[in-house]
Amino acid sequence: MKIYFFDSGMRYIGCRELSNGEPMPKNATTEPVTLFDGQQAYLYNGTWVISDIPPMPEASPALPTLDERLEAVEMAILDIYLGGAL
Amino acid sequence: MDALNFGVFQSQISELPDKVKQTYSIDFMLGSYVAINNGIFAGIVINSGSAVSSISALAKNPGIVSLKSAASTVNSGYKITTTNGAMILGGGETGRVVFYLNTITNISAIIGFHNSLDNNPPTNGVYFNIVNDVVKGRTAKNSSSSETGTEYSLASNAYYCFAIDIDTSASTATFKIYSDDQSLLWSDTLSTNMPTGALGFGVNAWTTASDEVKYLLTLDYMEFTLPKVRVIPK
Repeated sequence: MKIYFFDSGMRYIGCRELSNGEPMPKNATTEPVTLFDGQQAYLYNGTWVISDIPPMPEASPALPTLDERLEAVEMAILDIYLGGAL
Repeated sequence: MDALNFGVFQSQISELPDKVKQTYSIDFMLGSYVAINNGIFAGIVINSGSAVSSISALAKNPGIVSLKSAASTVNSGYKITTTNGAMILGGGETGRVVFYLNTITNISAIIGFHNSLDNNPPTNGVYFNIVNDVVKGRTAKNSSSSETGTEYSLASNAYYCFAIDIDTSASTATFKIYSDDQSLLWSDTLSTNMPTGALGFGVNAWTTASDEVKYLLTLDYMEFTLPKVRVIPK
């Protein structure tokens, strides 16, 4: 028998076969659900409610390297020295 | 505590080794993926893949890095591991990896103790083997391998902690999967093809299709413990 796990927020977090003699875990149900990529499911009144996963926020751009930061500082100093000519 | 017992207590403390085990970890708190090299773990491209870091705003999961495929390149991805021959299993080792899958389609990954440099299966290892949403435990010794009799089907975008525990005689590996709220979801063991050769620790992930650039797997934390390393004097 296949069991379907949910987390503390009742969100589906995977499934497996129940082992022989194993008691039913409290955080699982036998109610089946099948998800495709980009979908999530929440257990509500014993039934899975499927929705699309919100798009992932863009990751932070890579920070400048130490050399890039030193170069920027050098350019700023040079700019001050040249009276804002850069 | 009387004086005699206190004396015994002090004596016992002095007999303890200075360092009985060593835990190595990484939490991906750097802003640039090229900086994932803390002297233990290094980030390496697999067939033109890439990685991107993000300082996560989640209190529970500080610092994450996503491993990505390359456009139109099957088997492209990224790995963050130690050197593949950095250690051997002497017994009592543990490994923990906290992550989530960005996709459960056309993805493969190996997670744990292994010596794979890329998308090829390890010749020595004790590791989780992911193919799409299905994960099993595996051992490999000199290219002979064993696989757990049971499996677990993962959901995408859900944090898991994958745990590997090696017994003290290095003869049995226990594989466990925990949810983000520390519930045990799956467990199985293997006692055949336990590796005796050199291996490393970490994660390799790659796409099994030739399509657009995509996020494969996002790492939050990795650690492994070697209980039989040298003792450092005080």
